[in-house]
Amino acid sequence: MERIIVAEDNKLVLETIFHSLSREGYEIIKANDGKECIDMLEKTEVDLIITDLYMPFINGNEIISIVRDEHKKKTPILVLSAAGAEAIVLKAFELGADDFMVKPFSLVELSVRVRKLLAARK
Amino acid sequence: MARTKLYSRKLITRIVCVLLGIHTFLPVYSSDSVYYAVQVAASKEPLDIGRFTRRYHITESIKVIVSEDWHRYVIGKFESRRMASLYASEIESKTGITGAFPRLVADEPLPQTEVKPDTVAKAEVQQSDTAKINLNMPDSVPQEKKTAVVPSALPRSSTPHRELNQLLLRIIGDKNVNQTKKELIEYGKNHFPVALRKIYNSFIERTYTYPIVLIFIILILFFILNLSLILLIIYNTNKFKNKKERYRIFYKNYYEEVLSLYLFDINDWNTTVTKLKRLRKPENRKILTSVLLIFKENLRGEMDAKITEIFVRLELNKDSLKLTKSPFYYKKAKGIRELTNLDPKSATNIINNFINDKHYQIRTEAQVSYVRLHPESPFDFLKNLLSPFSQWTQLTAFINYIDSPQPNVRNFCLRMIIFFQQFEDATEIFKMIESKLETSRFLAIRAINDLRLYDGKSLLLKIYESEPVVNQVEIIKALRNVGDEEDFHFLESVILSGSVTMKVEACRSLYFMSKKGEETLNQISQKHDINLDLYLAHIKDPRN
Repeated sequence: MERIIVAEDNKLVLETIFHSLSREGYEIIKANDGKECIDMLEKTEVDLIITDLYMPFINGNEIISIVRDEHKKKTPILVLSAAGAEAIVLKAFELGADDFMVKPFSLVELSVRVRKLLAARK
Repeated sequence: MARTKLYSRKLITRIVCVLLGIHTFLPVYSSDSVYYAVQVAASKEPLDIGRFTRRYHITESIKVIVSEDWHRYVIGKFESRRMASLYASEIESKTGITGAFPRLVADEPLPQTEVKPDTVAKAEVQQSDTAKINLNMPDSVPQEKKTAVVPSALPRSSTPHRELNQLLLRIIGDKNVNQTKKELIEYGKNHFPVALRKIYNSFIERTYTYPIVLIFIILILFFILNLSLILLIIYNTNKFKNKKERYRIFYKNYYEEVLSLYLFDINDWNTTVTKLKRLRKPENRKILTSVLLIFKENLRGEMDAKITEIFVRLELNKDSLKLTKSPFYYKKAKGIRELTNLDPKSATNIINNFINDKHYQIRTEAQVSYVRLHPESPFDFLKNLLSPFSQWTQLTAFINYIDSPQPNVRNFCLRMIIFFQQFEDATEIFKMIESKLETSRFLAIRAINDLRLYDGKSLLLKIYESEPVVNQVEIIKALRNVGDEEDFHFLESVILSGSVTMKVEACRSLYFMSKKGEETLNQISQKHDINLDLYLAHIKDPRN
């Protein structure tokens, strides 16, 4: 079973993603902020990281930097954000994000993108 | 009524006595016409009662009994001699008067007169006269008491506030105090309405009756009370707000959880409704609506219909509709926003009613909602806009609304056309060149310049002479981008006759138009012997 970590400070979005992806058969690890996400990433191996961009303590861009530069991992990263400006999206990609979704997002679309990212990893 | 007054007076006197620390200095009032009183002084010549009462700190009314060439001064009204005797002892111990004794008094219309302690008797009595006053003379008391003399020193029982009062009196002087009092009362008569005058006089009377310390104490107590009240209100408000916030957070989390389970088909509708507790309370309905709005902000697609379904089935849309009818603008705006996001069908029906609302925030909210609700023609509301348009930017073909009856809508459209470089229909922009409004013409010139609408050049030259200076400068600027060699002559005439600003802009247009323009500029300089070096230096400077 593929393991996905979801870092999101909005509890509602976190729960929604959890319910949606759990039903697809993935194992979901919930992180309420960036710091929690990094702590968990140090303890466990995951197949995909879904992260919000703006979170307390450590933001989404910092998570990408830590995973790519410090952990030296190629785990696919999907960024979720309400801010969809070109500069923000480009920055995330430059740092090493694999995909970007702008809120409000469709759960079906999320599911498809997750599946694609995991398939590409394999 | 009279009884109530008597009780009130008793109560006030008791409070005052307690505050002054003279708990037992309180006579018992008798209702009979014959009663016992305490004689505190007697003299052949009338006394200055005001000075006497102040000196011995007597707060009770003093009654003067004149008979056999003697003026006897009595206070109190007692049913028995024993009570009067006890009161006499108290007076002696509290005020320093010696030889006070009880005596029987029969109420007679004359020559008895009752004098308030602070009232100054007309009789002129010097300070030294006090030594001549014989207390308890002449009457049926032991001989030794009849010869008792009022002590010339301060009263024996002196408390701090009495000392303070005496000190103040010494500094200010009795006469000054009375003068001030009279002036204050006079001021009230001249400046205050009749209704207030009574309260004012009573206040002045009390101020002069009771010791100043008491007034200070009352003021201090009043401020302490006020402060305590404010602190209490702040504390309770804070407590209430925190409680409300905790309640809100609890139910927000709870509703989120319940709704998540419904949205993912874990629970059916009936279970969800049963679990959505306290939905009859307006506060809880508001919380649920806010939760649905969060869902809507973050999710789209298949969830849209479900969120709207929850909103409508729980009749939360009725609450939002109610809000749109509220007299408060922010509630109206909230109602519009909720309906637009959660029940677009209802919102579409009502949104046109708010497009021309008197309040600009409601108009803005309604206009934004209109754009969201009408994706096929988001800016059609501009056609019906009769109120001033609030400035906000959205991408559309603004040329479609340039013929609006509202001048600021037209100007807004021109600004947006320039900003977003919209080339849809240049002829509509050219029409604006003939506008009656100077600002609209200015914006049209700028649009021709910024959008490089070469066909508009002839129009610019046509209107040049009749335009104000600002627009003329803008036309000269426009020629830099839309002009050609044909306009060199025109620009030359501007350089030769125009103002400094116009010269600078004409030089700039010529210089940047083409290489030929730059050469023409040198020729003009030589031909007319004008030094254009300064202008050239200015326009070449990248800071300009």
